[in-house]
Order: sequence, then structure tokens, then C-alpha cells
Amino acid sequence: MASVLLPVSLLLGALLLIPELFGDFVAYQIGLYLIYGIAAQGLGFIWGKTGVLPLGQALFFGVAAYLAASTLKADLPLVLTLAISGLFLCAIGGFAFLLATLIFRGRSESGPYFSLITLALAMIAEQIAGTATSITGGFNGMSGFASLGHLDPFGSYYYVIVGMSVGVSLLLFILNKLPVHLLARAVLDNEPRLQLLGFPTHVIKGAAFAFSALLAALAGGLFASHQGIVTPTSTGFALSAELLILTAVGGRFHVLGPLLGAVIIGWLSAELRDSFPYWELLMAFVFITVVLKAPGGIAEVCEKVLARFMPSASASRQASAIAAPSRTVQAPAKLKFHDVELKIGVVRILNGVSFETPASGVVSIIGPNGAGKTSVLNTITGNLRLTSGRITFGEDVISSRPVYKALNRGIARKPQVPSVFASFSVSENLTIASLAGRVTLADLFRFSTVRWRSSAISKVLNHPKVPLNRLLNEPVAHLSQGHRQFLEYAMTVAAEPALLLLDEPCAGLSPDETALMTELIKQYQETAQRLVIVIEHDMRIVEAISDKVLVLHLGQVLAFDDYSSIRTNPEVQAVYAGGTK
Amino acid sequence: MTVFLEIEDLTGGYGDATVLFDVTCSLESGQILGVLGRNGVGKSTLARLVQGGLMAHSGDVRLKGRSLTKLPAYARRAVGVGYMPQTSMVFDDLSVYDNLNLGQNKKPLDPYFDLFPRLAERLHQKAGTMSGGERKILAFVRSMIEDTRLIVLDEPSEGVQPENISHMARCIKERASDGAGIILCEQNLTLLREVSDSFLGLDTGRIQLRGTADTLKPEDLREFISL
Repeated sequence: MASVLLPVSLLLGALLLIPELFGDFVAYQIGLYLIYGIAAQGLGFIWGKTGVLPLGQALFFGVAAYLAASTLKADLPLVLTLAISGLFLCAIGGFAFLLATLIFRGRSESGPYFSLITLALAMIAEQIAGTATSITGGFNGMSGFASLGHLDPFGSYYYVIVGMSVGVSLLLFILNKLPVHLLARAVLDNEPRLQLLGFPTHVIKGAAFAFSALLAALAGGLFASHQGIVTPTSTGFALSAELLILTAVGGRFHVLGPLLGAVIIGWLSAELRDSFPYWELLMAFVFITVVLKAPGGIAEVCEKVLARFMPSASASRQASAIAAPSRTVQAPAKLKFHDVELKIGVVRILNGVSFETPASGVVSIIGPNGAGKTSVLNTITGNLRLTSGRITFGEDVISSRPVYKALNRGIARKPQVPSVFASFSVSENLTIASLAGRVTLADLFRFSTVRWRSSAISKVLNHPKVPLNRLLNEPVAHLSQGHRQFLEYAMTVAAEPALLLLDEPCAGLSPDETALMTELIKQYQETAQRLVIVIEHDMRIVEAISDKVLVLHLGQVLAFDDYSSIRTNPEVQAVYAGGTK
Repeated sequence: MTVFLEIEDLTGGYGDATVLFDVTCSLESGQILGVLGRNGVGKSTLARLVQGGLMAHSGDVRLKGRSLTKLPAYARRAVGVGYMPQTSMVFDDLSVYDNLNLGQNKKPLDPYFDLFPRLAERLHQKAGTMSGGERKILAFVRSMIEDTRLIVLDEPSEGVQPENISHMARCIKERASDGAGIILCEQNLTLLREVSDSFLGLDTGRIQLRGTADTLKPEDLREFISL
């Protein structure tokens, strides 16, 4: 906890000293920068963690400021004012959650549209604020209300802002230690993989946006009370852009980065505005320099300097793993394709594919490149929507479901090209996989959850030949393709699926590593007694592991039989020779 | 006489992490150097250090006596260094035709379409709609038809059906017979043995095995890759 308490204590100490050292007016100015800093911290959270960039955060800031001004104007008792403010915050958070979830539902690549929609909403709000004179006061704004609790904005109200700023920072530092933070970062790193692990990423993005909107709204409420006036500029494009600059310059990846950005830029602007006519040009130069030379912002530069002088401060220790709670393993079930057709544009990928697997055993899919092997797996997991036909697993129709629902039905998949979380360590990758299919909302807010390790992963790691145990703290970006295959395999079996889909698990592996992977697959099937489907070109592997072999050619089933029958099938021999490494 | 490709004490890696140490070797034009080793020993790192995707920590890479070490990847391509990466090798949103016609291509496509007819069948289809193996073949053919003097191939056989791997072997040998030097980083011993004139075995980032197709037996290679 020292990594949380130390920076927060230093922040609190420094802020409390400001009125004593520099007087009330400087404290008033710093208070305003801190308010913008809180909104920027919310922007930093969603932008830095998930990569989603809202361009209209001033919408929430301004709307909350107007609502706060209206409430303060009524001059209600403090408790009632706070209760109403809480309700407003909930409404704003709920609206933001719904907006992001709806935009990203079914279209994970909607980031640019989301940015533009949020920008448009902020501009609309600014227009409304400027024209609805009877409600907002129009361009003159809403004024004539006392600050919260009748505190003096040039005196005691500063300590309310400091309390909020330190509280928000503390909350963000704590979130950084929780698994919810790991999932938010995983969205930015590899969203499709996170969906295959059963996580509805549109909900994660929605929650992150709601949290950032809440912080913007909190800042807006504090702003109204601090300034005593709210004008349309509080809701519009200019403030949204300013918040973006504060976040980028301060550092969106660090909790205190946006706060630093707000204070430094706010102070510089105030100092230069009166003394240097081209101060805006200078600020633009600072922004461009930071974006080009230090994309992580001032906070990243500070961290690097700190790491140089205090190496131990930046070294992270790997906590020991704890067993993840056991998961209800689903019963064995047969997979059945009913006359499945799949077209992408004018290209027919699958053409009337029908087959039924046993409920347990290993089914290998072979066929020439482009036969439709990977597309079969894509239709099972929902990555591709069927043109016609139906796929059932047990009694459930699984075709055309969202990808994230596959794991909840007991279907786990290793993609063809290893698709792990490249900016994470091996250990963090295994943690995310261990959460899959078993983590509850409450678990996401427990510190101990980040140490979960599923028993299936432990079995893989404990195999003496699997090369992952010594690499746990390594960044995955440094791993070779082959090592990523083993990591992918461990992540895929983590949820102990009823249907394990492995797309070329031995690609890029040496003959000995191939033998090891084959052994792991057989072990899993023998222990779990579930269905495993493997796409493979190496006929030695196919022979070693398969109970049944499905041969695809030009998007159609050419044969589906046991290995010995397939080997002697003249139709198969005519189109596919197979081979060994 | 100037050696075609000289790699001298080449050391490099990712950021501060060094993955490849003091690699020294050479290659004549028309020769194929097979680089083998288990996963994580530095094969792809060597490929990227030669191609310019990674800049060396120390050492030198010279093509016909000209040092490439300080040149970025695009400048190395301009002097004739071709590269087929292990992953992310085609432009998904471009058609097969556009993928093949990017860059400075001079070789005719028809002989390759004869060997890989799926490319011709899917010529106007977006590369992103093709299977993983087909995309690998597309990337391989692009690396073959480009006007390059040195071709670095990083695991071209991964995910490709065996019949097409043997076609790849034929293409590699033909390209070498045209005078190109080829570095082939592979785990597939069948392909390596079929095409390579000499071998370089890497382990923990250092050269641990050297030899030619005459001096190294298949079991030596198999034993090395199993270490």
C-alpha cells in the first residue's frame, strides 16, 4: 500500500501548504486548476486505460455545473443539496454508461464514431445553454447563488476541493491495484481476445466512460460553487479540448498526470497571459513537444527520472499466486452443424457444412489452405455470422451469438495467430485468463483477485517441459512466437471448457515442442473428458491425437471419419496430401 | 572480392533487453542460409536486425561492403533487402492484386499463380478475407517477386499446408539460382534441409552450430533443435 499512500500523502501535504505559503488568492487559483484536474483525471482514466477517447467531456462538466447552480440557487439545507447532487451524479453516470454501451455493443471498432458523437453532444449542449435563456441564463450564464455550505471560495472552500482531489486520486490509485484495472487495460491491448475470454467489452467501456463522466460531473459541481457563475462555455468544445490537452500534457497513463497537467498549464497560462502576448503559441508548442517527445506526458518523464535515482521505487514485485475458485464445469455435449452457409461479400466461405461430433474426444480438422477450417471455428465462437443454417452445442443454438457469450457456454478458443495481451507480463496474461468465466462483479474489486491462478493453468505451468514458469515476469512482447503458443494454450484451457477449440496450436513450434503440445492436448482431453477440436496440417499430430477427422475442401465437408479411414480415402488423397515437420 | 553479406559481431534486442549476442556469419549471392533453433533463441531478432526493423546495439551488417547498420528499414529495402515477417504480413484491406503490386516488383506473377492457384482465384478479393495459410502464401509470393538482392524469410511455412511448403521450397531455390542471397529462419526441418546450403544454429542468442548441407546430417539438426 506504500505505493498508494506515499504519493497521496505527498499530494495532500503539498496542497495543504499552499494557502499558508502563498496566500488565499493563489489557493483560489490552484483550487480552480484542481477542479479541471479532477475532470482531466476522469478523461485520463478512460483514454489511458481503454484507449477510448471521448471528445466532449465538457458536456458532463457543464451539465453538472448548471444542475449544481440550480440546486445552490434554491438555497436548500446542505444535506438535501448533497443528496440531490448525488442523484444528479447517478443520472449523469447512468446516461454515460448507456451511451457508450449502445455505441460499442456489437461494434467494438466504433471508437472514432464514439469520439465524434461525444463531441457533437457537447456542442449541442453548448448551443442549448446559450439559447435556453429562461433556464440557463443564456450567454450571460447562471449566477447569483452562494457556494456550497456558504463556504468562502477564497478561503475554506479550497479545502473541500483539496479533499475531493486527494480522494479522487486515492480512489484511482486503489483502482490501479484491482483486477478491474487489468481488464480496462486489456480492452486497449487486445479487445478481441478479451471477448474470447468471455468479457463483454462494451460493458467495460461503458463503465469506464460512466466513471470518467462522474468525475467530470463532480468537477462541474465543484466549479459552479467555486466560480459563482456558470456560462455556456462550461459545456462546449473549447473546454473539452482544454481538458484533452491537460490530460495529454500531464500524462494519461498516470493517476496524477492529468492533475499535474492541469496545475502546470493553468499556472503557466495565468502567468504568461498578462506578460507574454504570444502565450497561446507557447502553450501550443509545449503541447506538440510533449505529444512528440514524451507521449506519456510530464508524469512519465517524472517517473523515468525517479526510476533513475530510486530504482527500487519502480521495481514491481510479483505476488505469489492463489488458487482461483473452482468453476462449474459444463457437461459434455455434441457439436452439430446443420447445413451451415457463410458468405463474406460475394465470397462463399462455407457451403452447406453439416456434421455432428461426439460429446467427448479429439476431432481434427484438416484441409488445404482456404478450405474453411478457421471459418468453422469463427462461426462456433460468433466471430462470423452465418448466412444460413444453424449450429448447436448440446441443446443450445450457439450460432450468431456475440463472441463474449461463447465462454459462458463452455467454449474456449485459441486463435490461429497467437493473440495474447502483448503489453502485459506473462503472469498478468494468466491472471486475466484465470478470471475468465469465474469472476463476479464483487471479485473485480478485491485486491486478492489479481493473484488468481486457475488449476488448469497451474497444471500446464507445473509440467517440467513447459517454458513459462521462468518467464512469468517477462513482458509478452519479448516472447517468441512459440512461447506465445504455450501461453495461449494455458490461457485457453484456464476456464476448463466443455469445447476446446485450438487453431494450429503447433504452428511455429520445433518438433520437440510440437510433441509437448500434443501431449498437453491429449492430457487435457483424457482428464476433462470433453470435446477438443484441433486444426492441424501435421499428419503425425493428427494421427496421434484424433478420434475423428473432419476434412474440408472448398468450404464443404469432404469426409468425416476416423483417422485410418481418412488416410485411405481416395477423395481426400486427391485434394490433400498432408505432411510432417 | 567483396563478400555479398557480412554480419559481424551483431548484438541486439528489444529496448534494454539484449536477445542476440555477437553473431558473425557471411553469405554469398545465390546461397541460402538456414537459421534454426528452438523458440525464443533469437531467430526473429536476427531477421529483424538484418532487415532494419530493429537497430543493432553493436556490430555491423554489410551488403556488398556497404554498411546497413545505421539505415532504417525503408532505406535497407531501397538497397535490396526484402523481408517476410512471421506475422502481420499482408494488408488486409487491400486486394490480393494490390498486395502483390505494392512496392517495386519486377518478377512475373504467372509462375507463382501456377504453383499457388488460390491467389489467382482470389486476385480481386480483400486479403483480410483469406485464411491464415493463404495470407502467409500471399506474403511469401510478394517477398519472392520483389526486386531484392537479399531476402529474409521468417518462418514462411508456419500455418501452410505441406504441399504448399514444397512449392515454397521450389520458389526459394529458384530465387537463389537467380542470384539472390536468402536467410531462412525456420523450425520446419524438412523445408530447411531441402533448400539450405549452410546452417546457423542459435541457442540463447548465440551461435552454437555452424555447418553446410554436406557437413551436417539431418540427425545433427534434429538433435540441435531438440536441445
